Amino acid sequence: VKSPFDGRSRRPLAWVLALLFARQLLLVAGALERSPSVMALSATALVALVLFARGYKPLLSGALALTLMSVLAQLHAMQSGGPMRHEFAVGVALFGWLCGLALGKDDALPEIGAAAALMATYVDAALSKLLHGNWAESATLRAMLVAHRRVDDVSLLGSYARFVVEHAPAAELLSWATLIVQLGAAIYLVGPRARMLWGTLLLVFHLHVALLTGIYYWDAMYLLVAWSYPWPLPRVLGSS
Amino acid sequence: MRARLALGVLVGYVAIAFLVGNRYPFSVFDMYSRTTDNGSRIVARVEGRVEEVDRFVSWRCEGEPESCDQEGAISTTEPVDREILGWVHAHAGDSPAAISVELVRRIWRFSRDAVRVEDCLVQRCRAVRR
Repeated sequence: VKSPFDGRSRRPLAWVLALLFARQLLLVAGALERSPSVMALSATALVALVLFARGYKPLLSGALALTLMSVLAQLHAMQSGGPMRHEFAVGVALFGWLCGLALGKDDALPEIGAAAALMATYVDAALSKLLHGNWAESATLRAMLVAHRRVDDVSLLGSYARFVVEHAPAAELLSWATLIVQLGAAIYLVGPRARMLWGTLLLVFHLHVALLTGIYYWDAMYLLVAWSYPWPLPRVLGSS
Repeated sequence: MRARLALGVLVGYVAIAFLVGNRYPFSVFDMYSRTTDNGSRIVARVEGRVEEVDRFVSWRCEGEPESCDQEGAISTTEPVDREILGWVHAHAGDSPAAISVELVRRIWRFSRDAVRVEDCLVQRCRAVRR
């Protein structure tokens, strides 16, 4: 398995992950009722994240930040009546990063672990749809559109959504495309070109969902942008 | 090592998620997986025309909201319902300029060839157009 960042330092990716995680942590903490325990948990997690990003005992500090975020996210889920899945992407990526860190000293392992964990969420989503039977042929997508779109929307996107709602074959086509892109997410892990291709497909999928329904998975999109393309990160000194 | 890690994390995450369900950071992401033949949204109905609820303020409603259970299995989206009904509660009032507005659940019933639309009365209210 080759990475687009081979020969480059992954430290900037660790910072990207830590910053996105910190942003989500603050959003979750802000949505909870303000209490000394919530503030203490958040502050500790933020300190742990800084240590993680700076490479100080990253396995320990990263695991601490993830555990504390898990507690806050569960509290938020209890308060909101269910889990908020858009909060998960950064936690998933940190989990994968920590798996890679635990496994060895190859600088690529955390980055590949994070990518694998992120892709697992798409495979998970596809498997869930397959387990529910004839998902693509059902009206699930159309039901989602009518629930999320305003009835008085006369914009171009509104017309597009209405077209999908009123034309079963169009909805089916989009549903099958969703299944293929999600189930094929494992291809992302094969190599740099596959990563760029499938990362772009997943970004298009997220943007399409966002434009049609207003459901934005910002963290997943930011992570896909950071992980999928061969950004000119600093070279690793002494490496080939 | 890299391939084993990638495969291990991918399969491991999926397996753990299906074992524990939704425990951060694990989830089966099944929120849009349920099959259905209908969808719905709560809207405001004035003289037979439907509009978005946030087009109105100063809401005053009679009784408790009805659930529409008698209409059979209706697919609802809790966060969206909560947001719409939250608007009604957050913009309660008693303006003399209020007109009769019905809160209805608009239901779209889908088949391969057609979409059938029906409304189920949730609550009779009075409100002021913004």
